[in-house]
Order: sequence, then structure tokens, then C-alpha cells
Amino acid sequence: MSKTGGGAKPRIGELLVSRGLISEEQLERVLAQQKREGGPIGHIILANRLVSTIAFYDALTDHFRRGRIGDLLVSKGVLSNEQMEEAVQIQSEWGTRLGDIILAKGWVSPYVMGQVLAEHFDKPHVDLMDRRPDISLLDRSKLSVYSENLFMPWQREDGLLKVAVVDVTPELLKIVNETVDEPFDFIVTSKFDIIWLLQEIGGTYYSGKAVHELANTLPQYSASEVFTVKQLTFLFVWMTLSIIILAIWPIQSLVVLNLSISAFLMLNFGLRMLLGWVGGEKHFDQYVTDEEVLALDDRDLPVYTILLPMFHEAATLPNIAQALRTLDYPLSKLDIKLILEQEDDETIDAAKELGLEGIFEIIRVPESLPQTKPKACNYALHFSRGEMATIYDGEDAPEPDQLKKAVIAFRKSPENTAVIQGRLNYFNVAENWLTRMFTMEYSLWFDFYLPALDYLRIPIPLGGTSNHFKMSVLREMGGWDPYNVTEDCDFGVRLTQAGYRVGVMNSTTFEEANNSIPNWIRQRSRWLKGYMQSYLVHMRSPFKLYGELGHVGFWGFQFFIGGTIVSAMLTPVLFLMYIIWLLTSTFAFDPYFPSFVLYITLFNLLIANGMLIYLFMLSGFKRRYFGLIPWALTVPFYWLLQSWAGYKGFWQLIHNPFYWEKTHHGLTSFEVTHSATQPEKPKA
Amino acid sequence: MNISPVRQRNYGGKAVLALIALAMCGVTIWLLSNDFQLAAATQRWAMVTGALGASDVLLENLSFLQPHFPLYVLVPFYFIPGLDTGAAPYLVALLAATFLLFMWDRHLKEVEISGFRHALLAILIVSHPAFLWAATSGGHLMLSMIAFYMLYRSAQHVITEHDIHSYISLAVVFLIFFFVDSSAIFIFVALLPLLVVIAPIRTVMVSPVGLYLIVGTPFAFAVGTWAYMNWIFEGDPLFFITNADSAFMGGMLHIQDFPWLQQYGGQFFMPLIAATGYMLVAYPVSVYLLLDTMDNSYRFRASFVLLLHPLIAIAIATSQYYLMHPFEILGLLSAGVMAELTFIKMQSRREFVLLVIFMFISSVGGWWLFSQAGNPEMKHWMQALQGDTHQDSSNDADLALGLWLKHNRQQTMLYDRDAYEVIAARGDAKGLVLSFSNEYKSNIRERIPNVAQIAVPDPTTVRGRRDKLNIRYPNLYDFGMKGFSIVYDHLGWRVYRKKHV
Repeated sequence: MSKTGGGAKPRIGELLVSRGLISEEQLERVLAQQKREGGPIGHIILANRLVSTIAFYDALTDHFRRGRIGDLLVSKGVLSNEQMEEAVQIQSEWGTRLGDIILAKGWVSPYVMGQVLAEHFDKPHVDLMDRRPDISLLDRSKLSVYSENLFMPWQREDGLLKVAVVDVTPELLKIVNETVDEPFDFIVTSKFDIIWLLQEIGGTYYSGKAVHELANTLPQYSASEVFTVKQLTFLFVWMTLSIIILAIWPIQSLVVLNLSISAFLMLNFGLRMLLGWVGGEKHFDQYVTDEEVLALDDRDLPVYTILLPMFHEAATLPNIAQALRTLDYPLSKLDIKLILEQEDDETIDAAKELGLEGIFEIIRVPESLPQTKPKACNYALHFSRGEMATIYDGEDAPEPDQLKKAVIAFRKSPENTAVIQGRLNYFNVAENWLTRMFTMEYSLWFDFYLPALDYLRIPIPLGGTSNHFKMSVLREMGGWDPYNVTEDCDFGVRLTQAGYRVGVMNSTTFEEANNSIPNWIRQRSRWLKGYMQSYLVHMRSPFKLYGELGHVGFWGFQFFIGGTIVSAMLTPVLFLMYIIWLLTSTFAFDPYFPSFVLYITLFNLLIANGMLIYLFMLSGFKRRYFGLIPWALTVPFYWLLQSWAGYKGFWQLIHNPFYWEKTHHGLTSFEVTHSATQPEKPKA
Repeated sequence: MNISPVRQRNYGGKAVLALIALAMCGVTIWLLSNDFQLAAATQRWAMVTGALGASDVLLENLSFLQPHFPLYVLVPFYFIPGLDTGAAPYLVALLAATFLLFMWDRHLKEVEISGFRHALLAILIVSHPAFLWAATSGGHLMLSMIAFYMLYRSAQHVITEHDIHSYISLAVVFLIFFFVDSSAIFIFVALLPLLVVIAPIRTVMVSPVGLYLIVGTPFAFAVGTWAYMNWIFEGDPLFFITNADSAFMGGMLHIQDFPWLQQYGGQFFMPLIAATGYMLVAYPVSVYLLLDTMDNSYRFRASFVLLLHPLIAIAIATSQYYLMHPFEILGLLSAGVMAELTFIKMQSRREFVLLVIFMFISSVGGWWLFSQAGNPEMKHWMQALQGDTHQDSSNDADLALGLWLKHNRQQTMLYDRDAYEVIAARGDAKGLVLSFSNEYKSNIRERIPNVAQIAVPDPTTVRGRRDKLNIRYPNLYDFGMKGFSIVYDHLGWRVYRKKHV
């Protein structure tokens, strides 16, 4: 804290009087108190609430500052002159503070930076692990504010609250002032100290919020209740009536059922054709151009939070860390959260061993159920400081300019755009049959369907990663549903219901395609279970949903989300009937296929299935993965796998609805790359 | 009220097209009033009438021996009162021609030509006999022209844009084409070698297989679908290319009836050369377009394909004994030229004048070719156009029987494959027991069919020999059948009626 005497500097009291912040009489009283009780005059002025902390430091910033951060670092020998020059050069391009750049570059550790910062502001530097805070000073309802802004009440000294901060800016002081609501002064500490301590102290609080917030505030959107009473009642009545009708009019009712299924599948096919055509529009691939990216001024870019939830993925950590380092985005504006489960020592140790730069922060999620990715992300949101946020998986390789493209896409989109979904694709395209199928499916989904859904204003089921959010909306919506195992799909629908727009953009993240069928089944069964959860959640009040989504949105939701589930469930049944008929030439099915039903069924079998196969071909063609095109002819076998996963997901929905079927990554023998031109390159 | 010049021009262009459509309608009425009737049109209408008049309305009643799309477009007209005279195919052809003209009008905006030029081009297009024939003869050729026009538009887009839409369009148009015209297979195959001219060379070099799969798979699915339908409903997937009545066989089983096949059937290069001659006479404009676009790679490639594609298709179709007359495919060039006109810039006066001259020459050449080398129906059409046909309908056996059946509306068993004119003349098929129906199939198994009337043609005629009722009951025509008495005997048709009816 400041001293009353000394040096060439004017005295604090005199400075405050000259600024008109205190009167001569007040100064006299303060000096008298200092004479009686001792202590720094600044403390006494703040403790007596003569001046607010903000006004105090606004007036006296220059008084306290000692030298420039960069010079201090150079003089201490922790930063070379060349690094200093480079940092200054970068500063002119990025428009961020020198300290942030030096930290982002990893030239100085956060701890040393804290020390220098403390010296710069003439404040003590405190190691919170040694000198722990007084927990009674913490307001538990404000833990999120502490963690989002990286400060915490530390101790009370001479009646004045000391707040530990990692940085000193007028904005932060304002937030601290509003939060603690009493006179305070600050001390400087390392950001990791604050993050770790807050997790230690508030782990239960953050965890509770991550799990229960949505269920408490918006229970109608929470999948914590799989079937509502109304839904069960409806199901019971419907099934009872169906059985009665079936008993009375067996043939007619089966014909109606057959007709309904056939018509549904035909309309589902029609929707997919429409999406294929609309999504094939050229302009979707040019939504954000390279020229626009080049024209972007780095100084205008917002701070970007990258959420990186990982679980037992130590092997993929170096790849994703490198991919994030090479993003074409000012590193000092990146706020990267490695979200690791507390018991996952393997990955935590790997992260520590990597010696990651200061922009990477490890967030340890305490053990609690459900152990899902959305819960982990919700937990990490409390520590996120970006204006925008995105999620990547451990095996991801986003195109380097993706974040910039997302910023531009937001600027070009309507104000109510809440999230922009990037495209997903795979780098191990040609590893085996399964990866080929998966790649074509993803290409179709992200390159055709999602842009079309966006255009047609049909709710977009977000992909698991590379969705770029406005942080304010993310928080307003209560984050993801931790009980939903496809929280991304659910969130896209929820945003549309809330009147937000979900957009798409032309930037791709390359992932590792599942190359093992059991692993794929696990993953896909989770996805389909999640789709079922999402469908059940949003269909709790169908009329309300209709009102919120409109005609196109509602029916698009029925066919795109519902259709995916129904198709998966029906495919094996229909295939089986067909094979039985082929092998036995039985007439047993004839009564259930009157001519009009037969024609629709034939159309579905021949034209619809044929054109759906063709869509798979087109997906490979558009991505210029020409080698995949002939493989599209085998896609009916892939549909059967999907059905298998669908039934597994359905079984789990009833028996273990919140279980997160973990997909194992790092199984590929291919090199992780974000190159779309040479995707078929095996590891050397 | 102020109307901008552009809108005025637009309205002017549309007004000219509407007048042209009315004129074509007038021509059709003139043709029909001069006793012109296309057998294929009557057959299509009879098939639709027969299928929709059956007790069970089934898709398979239409058989799978010809593409179904031209039949489906007739279905709505069955339900319109007053169209039971068989005029629907002509109306459909006219509507299709009008649709094509208005679609072309819309696409012509891309090349920004004046209203006068637009009208002039439209008149020149329509005055070409191939277009006028397709528009007024009641055949399905105008539907093929629409498909061909869209095919060329897609090909142009592949050349210029080569985006995914252009490839999808090309592939889907081929798929539709298969259900429109039985010659689509030859048009498809003929385009395959030319794909290397249409598609970007980079794509061709990197993955020719991929390119061909993208363009060809929907067509292959269409063929597969058709084979499957034949298998399901006829018991043989190849039924549509083995049955003697199939349109997919073209003139293969009747070579002696077609001079073109007699001269060139089974050959490739000779019909190619002959077709080139036909094209030089009837469509010199396509050569002009090729020469005019030499300085522009994109346009030149499109013109080159337009020039070669129909010729190759004609050669292949002739080599397979399919093509009965070169104009069945060559006539599609009218639509190709229309598509070409939406793609080229006719900025200079000289270019436009030359274009008009060549189109005019094409039209004159076309008329000359029609008159000199047209098939009998084309010649009959030309005569009807001139108003100098004198056909005596009192000698039309089918017409007479049809009209008699119209006034004696009792359940009548009839082998319909060669009796479509009878059905068309009757106006509907209600009460007729036709060969596709279960009733027919069960009755024909009986020694004495349980129907009110049976109509059979003279078994000594070609048609009579092919008649399944004559084959099943060889003495029926001459000696009748137990329990039946003759009630009609006129111009080679006899009708026997059950005595107690």
C-alpha cells in the first residue's frame, strides 16, 4: 500500500484534495487518525469510505505505477530484448496488453507475471496456496462472479477488505466494487491460484449449478425426467386404443399403420431431397470468404473461450494443444479451458507435463452424476471469460481461421443469432469402410443438411463441437442440459424456441472418424438416445412447440429429428419383411399392402433409397473425396448399423437414460490434420 | 400508369408467346378438323382410359412397356368433362409447348435481348417443323423436348458453374428423361463420351469414375426401378425390352416398316453420316452457333456438345435397331437450340442477323426434309396442315366398333393391345373387360367366358392373329360360341353377345 511520506511524488492526501475527492478537513482527520493508530493513509481513507476504491485508484494510478511491465520483465532478466520487441510489434497488431501477449506466448510464467504486476502496481504479491484466504469473506452466491472475473475476497486487514486479483483494470475494479459492496483494496496473485482455490472452495456449488441449474430454472427443458406423466398417460391410452382397434379390425388397422409408415418415410425422403438441393447452394460455401478473413482487424476481435472437455484422452492432448496454438487468432484473446474430470489423473498429469502456456487453464470437474460432457462444460462456464465461446473435442483439428470466420459470420448474421455451427469432417477418411461411410454421412449432414435447415428456419441440431456461441446467450439459456446425452441437438432446438437463430458457416473442423464398429455403435447409440431424449423433451407440449417454431420449423423438427429416429427403428423391420418376401414369395403380406400402399412402398424402396444413396455420393463429390463415391452404394449396410445403434439407444433410454457412452478416440493410424486436400494420408 | 421499359418489354415478350400458344392451338384444331390423328396419341389416351375405367385402378394396368410419365400427365384430363373425345394428348402437347416457351422466356432474360429480338426468335423456333410437329401432333415428343432443354441447361451450368446443383440437375433430368421417353437410354449413352467436354478437366483427370457415377447413378436407378417393376408385375425384369409390344424396342421387330432402319439398321457410322446430313439441312443453325462461339471456351464446349450429342444418339439408336426415324431424336435439337440461345450473347447486330438467317434456313430446310423424308404420319400431318386430306372415316373399323360399343354399353371382353382406337372411340373403358384385369384373366381360363359381350377381330388379319382372344378361342370369330349370338359384324370386327342378356 502507499506510503505517507517520501520521494519526489506528491503526497496521496494532497493529490486527493487537489482532485476534489476529499476536503482539507477530511484530510486533517485522516492524518490525525494515522498519527493515533498508524497504518498507510490510503487504507484509512478507503476504510472511512471517504473515497470509493475506483475513484481512489483512478486518481492515483500513476502514483502507484512503477515502470512499465515490459521494462520490468526485461530488467529482471525474465524477458529478452528481442522478445520485448516482438511483443510490442504484436501488440500493435492484436491490440491487447503487453502482459497478456507475453503470457500467451509462454515467455513468462503466470506466477512471475503476477509478481511483476504486483511490483508494477506497488502492491504485495500473495501466493494464495501459502496465505490462504479467509473463507468467511466469500459470498457463495457470488462464486460465479469471482471465477468469471478472476478475483476473490482474501482477507481483512485493519478493517479494510483485501481482494486478490490477477489484473488491475478499471472495469475489474468496478465489478469488484459492485460485488463486495464495501471499501476494499487489492493484492495481486496468480490466476491459477484463484482458479484452483475457487474450485477447491466452490466445487460443490459449481457442480450443483452445472447439474441442476436448468432443471431448477427451466424444468420443462430438462431431460432429467425422461417421460412426463402426461406422456406416459398418452402412451398408455394410445397403446390401449391401438390394441383394441387391432383386435377389432386387424387388417384395416395394419393397412393404416403400413400407410402411415410409408407416407412418413416418403415425406422424410422428400425433406432430405429438399435439404440436399437447398444445401447444395453455392453461396453457403462462400458465406465467409478468405478476403473477409484477411480484411479483419485483429484489434477488434473479442476474447474467445475455447472449451475442451476431455476424459481419459491423454494421448490426444498434445495434438489439440498444437491445433489450438496454431489458430489464426490473437493468442492473448484466447481463454482455453481444458475441462478434465477430477479422477482422470492420467489426462491431468499429461496436461501438466505438457507445460502449456498461460492461455490454457485446467478446470477439474468434481465427481458427480450424471458424468456427462454438458455437465463438464456447464461447470467450466463459471470460469470462462470470453465474449464468445466454442467447444472442441480432443481429437479435433479446426481450420486455423475458424474463430475469425465465426466472428465475421456473427457480424454478417442477424442480431438474434446465438450460435454459428462450423462444419465437421474427418481426417482419416479412407482408413476403412466405416470411416468412409461416416465421412460421407458427416459431409452430407454438415455440408448439405445444416445449411439448408438454417435457410429454411428449421431447428438445427447442433454438432458436438465447433459450435460458436455468444457467451451472453449461453449463460442466459442456462447452459447445456447435463441430462441430455446429445445436449448439442437439444440446445439448438431450445435456442430456436427462444427466438434465437442458429446459423452455420463454411469452416471445417476435422475429427477422427470412428474406425471400429463396436466403438461406433457406442457413439451412435448415445446420439440416437439423445435424439430420443430431445424429441421427448420438446414434444412435452406439442402445441406450444408448434407456436414457437411455426409450421415449417415444427414439421421440420418432426421429420428431421423424429424422422432420424423412426428411420433407424424401422429399417430392420422393413428389410426383414422384404427379405422374407424375397426368399419365400409369400402372399402373407398381400392384405396389408393394398395397391396404393404398395406403390408408396415401392417408391420408397426404389427411388427414395436410390436417391438417398445418391445423396451420399454427392457428399463425397462436393468435398472432392472422389474415392468415396463408389462406396456410397454400400450405405444400406451402414443404415443397418444405425438401426442396431438405435435399438441399443432405445434400450438405454429406458434402463439407463443418462449414461454417457464414451467414444474412444485416438484409435486411428492416420495423422491428425486440418487439411481438406490431403485427407487420406496415413501416419508415417 | 407508368411501366418501365424493361417491364414493358417483358410483357411484350409474354404477349407474343401467348399469341404463339394460341396460334399453335389453332393449328392443332385445324389439324384435327382435317382428320389428322396420331396413332401413338390415341394409344396413350386409350391406355389411360382403360386403366382408369377399370374396376380396380392399378398402376400395372398401364403396363410397363412404355415410359409412364406421358401417361400420368394425361390422367387429370380423364376427369375433365368433354375431353373424352381423345383430345387430351393434343392438349397436353400444346400445354407442354407453352410451358417450354415460357420457361425459355424466363431463361432468355439472362442474355438481355430486346423484346423484338425475343419475339423474332420465338417465331423462328416455333416455325421449325420439328417444334411445330411436337407441339401439335399430340405425341410425347414435346415432353422429351422439355427434358432435353433442361438437360442442356444443366450441361451449360456444369460447364460454367460446375457447382453441385448443376451435376444434380444433369443427373436428375436424366432420371426423369427415362420415364418420359424410351429413347432416353441412347441419349444418355451418347452423352457419356461428351462428359469430358462438359465437366471441368480437373475433375475428369482426378476421378472420371466419380464423375460418371455422379451423373449416371440416378439414371441407373431409374432403369433398375423399371426392371424391378417389370419383375414384380410382369414376372420378368427384362419384360420391357423383350416384349414385342414394348416401346423400348423401338422398330426392332418391324424393320421392314421403316426405311431408315432398312437402310442403316445395325450400323453406327453410316447413320451418323446420314444424321449429319439431316442436321445440316434441318439445323444448320447449330453449325453456325459452333463457329460463332469458337472464341469462347465455355460457349464453344456447349455448342460442340449440342452438335455432336444428338448425332451420336441417333447412330447408337440406329445401331440397336431402335430408331424408326432420325427426327425422333434430331427433333430434340429444337429444344437444344433454345437452350443454346439462353447461353450465348447476341450483342452485335451482325451476330443476331446471322443467327436469324441461319434459323430461317433451318426452318426452311426442316420443312423440306419433312416433306421429302418424313414418315407417313409426318406427311399426313403436313397434308392436314395444308387442309387437303380426305379421309373417309366411315371405313374406319375401330372407330365404327368404338362408336357401336359406346351406344351398346354392356360388359365387353376385348383384347386391348391392338384395339386402343376402339377404346378411344368409345370414350371410356367402363364395362370393358381388358387384358390387364383380373376379370379378363379369370374369364380367359374358362371354356365359355362369363361376360355379356366378346369383341374379336378377323383372325385372318395381322391384328387378328395377334389377338389373344382369337388365340384362346380360335373358332370364335367364324362360328361363335355356345350361348352367344352375333350382334355386330362390320369391317372385320364381330361382337358376340350372351343370349340371355
